[in-house]
Amino acid sequence: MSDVTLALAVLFPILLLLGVPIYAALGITGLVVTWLTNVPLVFATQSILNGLDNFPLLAIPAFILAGNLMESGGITNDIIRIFRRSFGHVHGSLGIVTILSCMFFAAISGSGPGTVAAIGAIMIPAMIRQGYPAPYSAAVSATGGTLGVLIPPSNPMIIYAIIANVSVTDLFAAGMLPGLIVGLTLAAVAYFAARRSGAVVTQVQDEQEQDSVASLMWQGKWALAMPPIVLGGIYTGLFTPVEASVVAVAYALVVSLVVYRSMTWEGFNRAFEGAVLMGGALMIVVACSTLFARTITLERIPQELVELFSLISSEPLVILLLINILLLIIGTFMETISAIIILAPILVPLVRNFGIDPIHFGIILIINIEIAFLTPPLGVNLFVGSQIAGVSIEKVFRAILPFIAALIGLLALITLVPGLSLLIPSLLR
Amino acid sequence: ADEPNPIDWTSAPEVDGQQVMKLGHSVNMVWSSHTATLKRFAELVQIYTNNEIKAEIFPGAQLGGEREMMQQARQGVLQVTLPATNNAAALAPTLNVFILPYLATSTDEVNCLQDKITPLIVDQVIEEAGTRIVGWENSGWRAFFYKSDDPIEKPSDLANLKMRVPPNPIMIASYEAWGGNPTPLAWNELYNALQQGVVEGGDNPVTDVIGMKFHEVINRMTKFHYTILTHPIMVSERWFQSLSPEHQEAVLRAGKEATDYIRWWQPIDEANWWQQAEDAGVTITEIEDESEWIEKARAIWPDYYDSLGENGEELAQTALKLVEECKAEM
Amino acid sequence: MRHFAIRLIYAAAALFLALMVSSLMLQIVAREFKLPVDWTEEMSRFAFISMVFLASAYATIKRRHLRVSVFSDFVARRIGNRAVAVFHLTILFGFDSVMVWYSGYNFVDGLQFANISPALGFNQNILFAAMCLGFGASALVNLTDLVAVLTGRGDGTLDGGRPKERHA
Ligand code: NA
Ligand code: NA
Repeated sequence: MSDVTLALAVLFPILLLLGVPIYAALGITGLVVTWLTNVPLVFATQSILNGLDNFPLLAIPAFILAGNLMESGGITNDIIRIFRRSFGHVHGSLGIVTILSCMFFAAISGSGPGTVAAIGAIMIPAMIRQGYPAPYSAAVSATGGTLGVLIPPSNPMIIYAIIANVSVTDLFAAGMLPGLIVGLTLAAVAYFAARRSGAVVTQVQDEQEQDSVASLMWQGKWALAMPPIVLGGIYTGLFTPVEASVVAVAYALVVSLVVYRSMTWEGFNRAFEGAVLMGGALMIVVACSTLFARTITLERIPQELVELFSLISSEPLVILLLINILLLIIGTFMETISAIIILAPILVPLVRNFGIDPIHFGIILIINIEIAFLTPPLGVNLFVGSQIAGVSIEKVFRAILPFIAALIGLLALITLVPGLSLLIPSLLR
Repeated sequence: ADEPNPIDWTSAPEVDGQQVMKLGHSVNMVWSSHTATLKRFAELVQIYTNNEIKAEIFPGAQLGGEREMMQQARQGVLQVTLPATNNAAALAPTLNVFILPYLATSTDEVNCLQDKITPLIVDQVIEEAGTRIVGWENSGWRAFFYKSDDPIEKPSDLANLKMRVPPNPIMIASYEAWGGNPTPLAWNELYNALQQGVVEGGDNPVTDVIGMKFHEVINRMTKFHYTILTHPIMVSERWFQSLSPEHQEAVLRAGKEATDYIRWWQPIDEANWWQQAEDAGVTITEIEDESEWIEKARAIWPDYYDSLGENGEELAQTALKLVEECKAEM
Repeated sequence: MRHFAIRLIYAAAALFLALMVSSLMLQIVAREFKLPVDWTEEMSRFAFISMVFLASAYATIKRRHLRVSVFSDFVARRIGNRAVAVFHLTILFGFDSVMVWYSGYNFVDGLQFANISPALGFNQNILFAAMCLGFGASALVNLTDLVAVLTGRGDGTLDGGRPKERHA
């Protein structure tokens, strides 16, 4: 084993196990590998800073800020009231609501973590106050957020399509049916997991909650107007999904200041402090993971792994199984976009050789990415969920296991039945 | 993969004392003239150094964006990189001279200008950015791609379109001079933005337009000649100075020959891409008379002499004189 | 003094976050009304990057960084909190210091070899100053806590987020 492999395979897990913050574990391993390979150490700080120079990341702190402002401005409260009145008596129903909201938001956003930040910032506090366990609330939002990359549009799909030289439109179309299947399955899992989680639905305490749903909806019109404004703005080309995050901030501010007149200086400050703390903790991990990914790239470790398996078998299904296992492993510690940029150029020619349709393979890759978003040590959706809910990664991860099991089952299904991915693109052509 | 393969240079065996030359670039696709240039360069370096320098290519901005890779080359993380001239100019302002709109207006003029002016600016670029230009690649003239009922034919046609502009001050100013609406937008947001109508278009060579799949979300392109997308082959000066004179010679020769090769190959390839654009249903407009475009764009030159580094105005005049010489020789 | 410095870091991070949001908002408005504003995308990105490093320092102060604590809690129960805390704080202080040194180097080196942004004309290497400051603040916090643990005045745990007075 070379020094570099040793550092990656031993030092990194040890640092994590010993409870060193994840950003430092990634950063230290990256530094050590940089030093071992005689690369100037300025490379490390440069990679960490430039890892943040990525526009779509801006949506995450902005959506978190929007959620916090809605919470302190009382907008979230209105939404919760409507939920409680309409679904409060159905045990586990908010899990379904969360997944369905994620599906809707996924249909305009191309990012996984962006979707959790947008939906989770409202749904996690809503669920917790309704009596759902915090880890469950974080888990269901983090999982629902992964639909952001499967239901079109999808940023990772665009990158993959360019590398694999397939049509983005076809790939988007290929994601529709799997997106629907995965979304509905996750909604079912969310329902059953909620029933098992020991959620205690709290009694209605609020006077106003005795009102009819229609009257509550009228009272909550400003809260309810937010999704149509954000979604409508994106659909009509007024702003991009990333820009939508600041529209949400502006809307929350205006409504709570002008309409509700409920925003206090303390509330405002608390919203910012929360967004700063979560944004800092999340984004520094993403920054340090960039260094980690680059050191792996410089050492050509993914390439060597892939070369290994083309020697193992010549059976397409065996190759797909091996690739799925590799992707699941790499997905635990590597950030999505880096993983695609590094792996797709080597994997696409390999699967083409075995007669596998590159569009079908693209969907397989995306489902793997969904799982990668949820698995520690580097699972950005998992982190966003755990930060918003304020519970430890371990607890959220335990609550996420049933969802991961479902996703692995769906991955097998989608791998074995190419028609699920290829039917809609062939109809549209 | 370990068997030596006479038509695959990457299969040349590893030998003792062999140096590794790392090449980084930002393009993901195997199709580009960009990729072809670096492969050719890598292969020639390996041949001319008798396998004493072996190349490893890192595509798709795996190691960072184009400017970052230039910094890495200066600091010795990478040995070779191929940044777009408009991006490289952020670190080496001298290169902004190539961005001056309508400086050269045909590919032959561009090639001739590159050959004549590079020896004059190579040291200045080393001083600015720590990287040495050893050759050039042309990716083709930037063309408008956009979604619109009407074609862009004259500058005033830009008034109703929101166009994404490459991040370069001279390019932004050119759009403003034509009365357009240059919109800043991250490159990785562009496909979605075109699809949703946040912007209506942008400008890139046809290979990029097809390669990035923009043809799926636009319906028109307009050919004109305000600037060509070029990439200098940049070598880390720190690394270059550490090489033996024989190896330095080999690197320079490989740079020169890779340039000659791509100048032959790229136009053949580009014609093919225009054909693909047409087959994909893109309506292509050619501007017959570019004089209004030229007049408005050239008027901004004096505002940007300062951005060409020290002696900017002198450099611009030299470039203009060289282009005239080139025209006379043709 | 210490309290003031902490407020200052938070205020700077919050201001950068506000700057990021407002320049993106301006980008949307300017595009719709065809105003000649071309620097919004840059401004928001630079504000975001600066915000992250300062916010990360603030997360160090509040001990809100993401980590996997199950095993280290188990070890701490066996060999004592102090040993584990000394280990964590030493490692973090070491990492922060290396980051301070090299981001400082990148900053100084970057003043000579500028990387000028197109619209704002801003030397992007100046962002390394935010990185250097953020990791510097983080290093100071970790060092102070390390000293406190070694002299028996603190527990040095990395689990914050609970309302606990760390610097009593
Ligand atoms: Na999506
Ligand atoms: Na993961």
